[in-house]
Amino acid sequence: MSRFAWQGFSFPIDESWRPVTLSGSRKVGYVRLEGEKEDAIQVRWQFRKFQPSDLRPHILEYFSALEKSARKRKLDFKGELKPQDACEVYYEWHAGLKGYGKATYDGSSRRVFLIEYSGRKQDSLKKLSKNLFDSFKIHQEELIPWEILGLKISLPWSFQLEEAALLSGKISLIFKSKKYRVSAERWGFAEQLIKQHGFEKLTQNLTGLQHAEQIDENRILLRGRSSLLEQLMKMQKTALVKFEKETNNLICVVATHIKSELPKWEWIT
Amino acid sequence: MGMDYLKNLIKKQNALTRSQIRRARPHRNSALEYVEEKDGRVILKVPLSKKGKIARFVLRSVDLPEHKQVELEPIGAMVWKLCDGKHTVESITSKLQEEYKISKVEAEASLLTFLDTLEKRRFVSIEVPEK
Repeated sequence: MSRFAWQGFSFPIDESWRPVTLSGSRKVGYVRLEGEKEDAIQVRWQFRKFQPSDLRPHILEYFSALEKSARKRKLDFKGELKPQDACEVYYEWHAGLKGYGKATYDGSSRRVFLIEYSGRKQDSLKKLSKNLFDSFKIHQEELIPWEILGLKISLPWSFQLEEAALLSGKISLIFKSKKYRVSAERWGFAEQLIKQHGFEKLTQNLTGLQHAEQIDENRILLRGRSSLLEQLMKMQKTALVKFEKETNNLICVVATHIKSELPKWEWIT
Repeated sequence: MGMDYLKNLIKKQNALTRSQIRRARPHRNSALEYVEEKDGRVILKVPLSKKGKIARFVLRSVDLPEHKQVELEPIGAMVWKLCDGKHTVESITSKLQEEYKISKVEAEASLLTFLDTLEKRRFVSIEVPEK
């Protein structure tokens, strides 16, 4: 079992699930993950400055989009709401597929979440959806976890995701804050890459930084010469590359930062 | 944001279902000769194209080799050897997963990308089962 952590929320997930849509920002966004069959987990979130007195309009708006899409495919649509209280409304819908969802408001991040588990009509999804709702966590810690397909990093709230790229063999996330720009990458087939190029040489090639210092068997710290612009702005690049033997992954984090503000490597431990 | 390799690959393959892709069987192009090296690499001998007047003229007038060589790294070589028409995408994925200690998602995505490249170059053909 692994975990999917994104934009301040997380839930446990089997390793065979894959993210197919990752869009939006901290304020508003949508993610969709698909499982082995036709089952999917979808999370939608939206910033609301004040707690909404009623979450039902959010679901009804979603139902109307689903109904429209079902009508196009000549399918009957049935949606049902099961409100618990002002902050929590459960719902289910049936069309070609079926889905069980929960709408909730999180006061700490001021966001409305629509969390949903959907799948084939013949499959029993109630228990699976309940497990999802029970394990869905909205993070309030100082360091917010990000976890996707073997890439794990925890960063302070001030870091915003700028770019995400999921490629075969390489996962890359780029974050920005006032003081830092952090690029986190996860490379697969690490052992084979190290065997072919050598650990130090490989890390130098991946990061573009030349001064390598091996901390231990599996970690290398790198520093580079800054470009003229970076020197003028008193910026510097530092990187930490970690070889994870059990998963055959190479985690590579490059931080561009003000010289006096070194990155905190507990972010990737 | 949110580039997705599998989505793109599935799109490319004209809405093949995931189950069809997993049951597909890659076949090596029998016209290609290959040599297995001791270090695990495989060298493919790819015949140079003789199509077109210019290509025929150049080949006649200049002493060019009839083949070009394409080298596959040990991981690619392992996949190449499994493209025998007997193994499915799913079984090759499992072997990659076991051999290289990688996740199923990673193994499948890497394999599909690699097979896509091989197929475009006509090094392999893919036998796709019915839905």
